[in-house]
Amino acid sequence: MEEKIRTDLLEVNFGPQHPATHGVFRAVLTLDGEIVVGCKPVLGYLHRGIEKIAERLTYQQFIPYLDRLDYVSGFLNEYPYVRAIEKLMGIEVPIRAQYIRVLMMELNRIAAHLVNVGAQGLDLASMTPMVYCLREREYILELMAEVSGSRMTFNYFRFGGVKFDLPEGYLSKLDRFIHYFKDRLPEYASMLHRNEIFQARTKKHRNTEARNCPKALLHWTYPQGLWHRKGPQERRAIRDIPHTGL
Amino acid sequence: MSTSKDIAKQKFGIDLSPMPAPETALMINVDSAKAVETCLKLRESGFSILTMLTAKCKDNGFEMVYMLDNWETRERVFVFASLPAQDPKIKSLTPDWEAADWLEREVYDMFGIVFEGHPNLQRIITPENFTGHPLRKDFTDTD
Repeated sequence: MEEKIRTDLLEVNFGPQHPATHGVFRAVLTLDGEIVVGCKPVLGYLHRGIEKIAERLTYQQFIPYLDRLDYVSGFLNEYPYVRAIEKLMGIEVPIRAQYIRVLMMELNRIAAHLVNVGAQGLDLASMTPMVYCLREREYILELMAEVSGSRMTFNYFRFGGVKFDLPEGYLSKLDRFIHYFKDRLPEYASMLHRNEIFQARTKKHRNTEARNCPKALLHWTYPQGLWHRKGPQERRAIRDIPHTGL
Repeated sequence: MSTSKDIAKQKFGIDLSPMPAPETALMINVDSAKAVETCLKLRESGFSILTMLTAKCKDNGFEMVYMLDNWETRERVFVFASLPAQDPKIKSLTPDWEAADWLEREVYDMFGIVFEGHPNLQRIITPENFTGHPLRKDFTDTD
């Protein structure tokens, strides 16, 4: 016979000091015994009012702050600001500077993805890929530091160009890195997407109900047709909105 | 495939004009009472993604900005609606388009624009005991 036990709802703060929330986020959970029946997210712990800081500075003074918006992708955060000012002022950027910017942003993008890939392995209890990813990331950070003088807070893009030209012999160094990195990719494949634990925890977990849920399609940012194709619809800003002009 | 711009024109009579160069997006200025209605019509025309919802604080009032995207035809449209400086209010998009929920809360928090009909219009980023709306031009430091 099933016994009915009356339970009280309990409200528990998950974060902001919980290690999983990194101090930036709190979820107010409502628990019924061991089951979570409600969740209210509370955010803003890391909001630093960057826009308000910008109002007090000159336009040039604000560039270093952009590296700190997201510390794994400084170049990618500097670019939209610098480009917006250039558009407003009608400044034409020399083609060499445009190429340097794109090169730096692409290096930065690879470095940022390495953190993502490694951390995803880490979250799924696979420690090794993180170490490998950080090894390659370090290589990229050194390359970027050689150009800008800083590993992560670059302060390198300027209105109408960049701060310095590339150092001598830089492109051959870049070439060496590209070959080195290409050979590392099978390592990631063998450690992550051919790893049985990783597969068990990521494969076939897509919420198939969302495919036929009109509310999900209508209300949230699912593009029409996303679920009717074979895979998620591809969206690449670099290709679709070629804002760099290259 | 006909573009969302054409569908909006044929189906709803909404005339989208291009942004000034060098921007490539489309834009439309609407009355603040019609902003939500326009966004919903544009969603039906194919701009099915609410990428951004924000506001601007200008000298003579506020301006709401809705940015909608169509990923298939790669079109983007901005909907602008002006609001007065005193007691700015606009109908909430959230009951019809839930993706606007937190975005409207942020605009309320930062600019003090009230979204009528929003189910949970509370501050989202600043602490609960915070006074004022930081991104207004007349906001002075609290410390």
